[in-house]
Amino acid sequence: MSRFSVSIKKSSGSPIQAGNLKVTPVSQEVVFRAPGQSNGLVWNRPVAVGVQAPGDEMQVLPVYDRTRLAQLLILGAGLLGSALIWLIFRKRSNSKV
Amino acid sequence: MAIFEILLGSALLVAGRRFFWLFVGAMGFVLGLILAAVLFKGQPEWVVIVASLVLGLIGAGLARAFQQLMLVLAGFVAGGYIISFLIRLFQFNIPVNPQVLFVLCGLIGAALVTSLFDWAVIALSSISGATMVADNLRLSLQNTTILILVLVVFGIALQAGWLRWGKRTVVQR
Repeated sequence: MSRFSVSIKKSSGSPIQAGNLKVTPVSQEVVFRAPGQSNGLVWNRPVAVGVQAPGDEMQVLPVYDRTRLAQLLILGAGLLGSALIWLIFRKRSNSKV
Repeated sequence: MAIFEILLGSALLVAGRRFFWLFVGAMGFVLGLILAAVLFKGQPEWVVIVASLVLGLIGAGLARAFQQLMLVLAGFVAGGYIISFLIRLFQFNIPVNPQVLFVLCGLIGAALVTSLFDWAVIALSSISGATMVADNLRLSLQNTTILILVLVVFGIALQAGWLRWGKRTVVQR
């Protein structure tokens, strides 16, 4: 019986001509597969853009989703803040005893 | 999805404090919905549901081991969830980033659970349970507001009754 598996792979889309530049989108695919299942949960996201000028080598420009990062940081800060509130309160109530 | 959320909300409404792991699990589910909306944008709905359920189950499981900490974190999510729902329902135009407001109200929720514990868990589980039920029934604004108020009063009264009854039986023993 197959086990739970996670696979990560990068794939390039078909190049797009923008002016005299050739732009190639690059995405990352994370696939979670449950045991005994041929299908799975697929998480696709853009990770880079390849840009090639005529006669030059392709330059790979990474894609950063700053909004997503900010959203996660805000949420993480809130959870951490809650844990801190709990820790401070616990220490205070312990010291009172 | 709607039926599942209505059932979960109803369970929270009547037993959010008694079965604290349910409250933590439900808030884990809500956190999963929020995270999935950020991480799995554009993915099918079932992906969001699976991710949320997994986080909910992890939350409920961890609630057994780290009871107080998980309840405080659930209080954080409940505080943020309730304010997000109210802003969406009444379409308040607040000049603050909704995510920052979520975190601020979440911190208030966490502080309430830390300091008042039982009563904060009763209030937060009743309000979040009521909003979960009302949000999925797709009623008019007026009916949603009335339903939330009725459910919150019912939930708090029922859970407070259980709390007093529980304390009385402990004293009698």
